[in-house]
Amino acid sequence: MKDSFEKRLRTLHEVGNRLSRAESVEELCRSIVELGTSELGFDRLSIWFVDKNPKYLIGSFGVDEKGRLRKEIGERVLRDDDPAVRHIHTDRSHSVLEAGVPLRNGSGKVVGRGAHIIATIWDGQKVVGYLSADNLLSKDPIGEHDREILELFASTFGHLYSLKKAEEEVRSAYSRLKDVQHQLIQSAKMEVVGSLASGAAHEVKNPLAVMLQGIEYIAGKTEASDRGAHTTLERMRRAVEKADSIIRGLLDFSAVSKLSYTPQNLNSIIEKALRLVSYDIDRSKINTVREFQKDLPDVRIDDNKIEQVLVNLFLNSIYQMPDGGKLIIRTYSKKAPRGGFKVFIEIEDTGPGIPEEIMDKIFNPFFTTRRAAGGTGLGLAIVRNIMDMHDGKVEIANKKVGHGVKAVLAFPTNKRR
Amino acid sequence: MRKKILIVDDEKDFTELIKLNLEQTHLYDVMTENFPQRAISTAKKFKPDLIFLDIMMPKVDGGGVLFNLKNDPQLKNVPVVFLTAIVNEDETDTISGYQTVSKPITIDQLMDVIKKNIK
Ligand SMILES: Nc1ncnc2c1ncn2[C@@H]1O[C@H](COP(=O)(O)OP(=O)(O)OP(=O)(O)O)[C@@H](O)[C@H]1O
Ligand SMILES: [Mg+2]
Repeated sequence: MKDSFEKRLRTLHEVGNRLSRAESVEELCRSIVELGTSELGFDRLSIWFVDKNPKYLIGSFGVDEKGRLRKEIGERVLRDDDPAVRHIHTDRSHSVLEAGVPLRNGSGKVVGRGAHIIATIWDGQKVVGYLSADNLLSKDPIGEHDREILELFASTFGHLYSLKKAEEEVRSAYSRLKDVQHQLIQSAKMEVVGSLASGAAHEVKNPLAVMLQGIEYIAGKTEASDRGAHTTLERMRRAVEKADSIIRGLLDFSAVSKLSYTPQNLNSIIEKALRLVSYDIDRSKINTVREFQKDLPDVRIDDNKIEQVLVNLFLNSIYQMPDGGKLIIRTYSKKAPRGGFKVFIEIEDTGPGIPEEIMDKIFNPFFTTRRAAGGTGLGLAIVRNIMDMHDGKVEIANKKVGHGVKAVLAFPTNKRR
Repeated sequence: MRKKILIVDDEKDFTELIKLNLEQTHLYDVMTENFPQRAISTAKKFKPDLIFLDIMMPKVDGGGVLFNLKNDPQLKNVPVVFLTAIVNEDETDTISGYQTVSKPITIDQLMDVIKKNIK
């Protein structure tokens, strides 16, 4: 037996208060269905949001044909499959009540007949979805009062929905901002540590050098029989070495000690970099194709830095092929016009390519089209920076044939092989 | 004949002690120059077999001195080794092809470097 209309209005008010405490849109939707059935006496409830393509509705939460709460997030049905929704849509009314109509489950399949109310969810500007209630399980009659309660419930929902959604957006924008800020602080810190370290190195290593020379000088002037003096000098020497090793550690940590260039084979650096992104490659089901020149001449590079260049480029391509594709990596060498040789790495993907309008911005620090997905826009800026340090070149363009991007790295070398 | 070593470094305490220590071995004649601007004229008079060149010096740095050395017909073939208080040294370290040693350095290490760089 349902409560009186007045009692249900009071309950609706309390339920509204409880709903306003939801922490997220998802929790709000779940509570709507839970409280709507347990407190307001509806038999089955479900929420359908209007998709980006307005022909479709997207599921959220609902009650299935056995009365269980069901998460239907991501399920899509055609809007016009439901005559009541079609009706409400053309009439511009807030709710409709129909009796003796087919009732559906979360996938749009008809599971019985009965009465059915649909109310629009209005966020203050537009209809964002529909709240639907029926009597599939209880067979209790549904009447005008139920329709009014559902309409009010849907309107409370719409109001809270727009609030929670805005809250969520602010929260995620804030956390993205935090991330970027964190990265900035990190790199600013490294810079400070870096300049401190090299400054300290100079100021400390020079006096250490004087002390070491002094110790050696005195050692040379001291009688070999004077054991005490020699032990003391040995202790002093060890103290100098200790201080020096601390300074070295600081320099290594801040990596201001210059890049360390060694002759390397780029084919094996590529393999190392690929191993670092193998998880992402497998997850997106991407095929890697290697077209390596076998006797590639060595190039003088800092292998860690070049690995970072390759990883940044690989990740850019991988992000653009979430549903699979091909990553082609090619290496070859060519005689340079002005003497010496050049070694090339080409990286091709089969993603959508880069829109021409943004082509001249992609190397700018902080330029990204993937901010929402966590991009910082530093990837290519770093790539260019590192290639500059190697007297190398990087070029990125859309492929002339087919779709996707081709990145070309060029390294100078004086070796033929 | 003792080998002649020129040390160009603005740290006077360091160059004086190196000179004392190297001369104690009776293998070398050592000249020090604490003003990099005067490095070329000192070198011309002294005619060293090897020059140690500090990288970070005020006014003219090691690179500047090297440039002038290489443009002087009398000095351009004298071997040069860089001294530095910044870069972490490892045996094979070179800067544009010149061996680089990191301070602090012991006399034994210094003598190894000298032997390796004097033909
Ligand atoms: N292979 C590619 N295909 C399509 N677009 C690309 C490709 N590589 C780069 N881009 C575009 O260039 C932009 C800048 O790339 P960049 O690597 O500098 O930053 P990001 O990838 O967005 O962020 P981060 O590298 O910091 O995670 C990308 O946001 C994307 O729009
Ligand atoms: Mg990137």
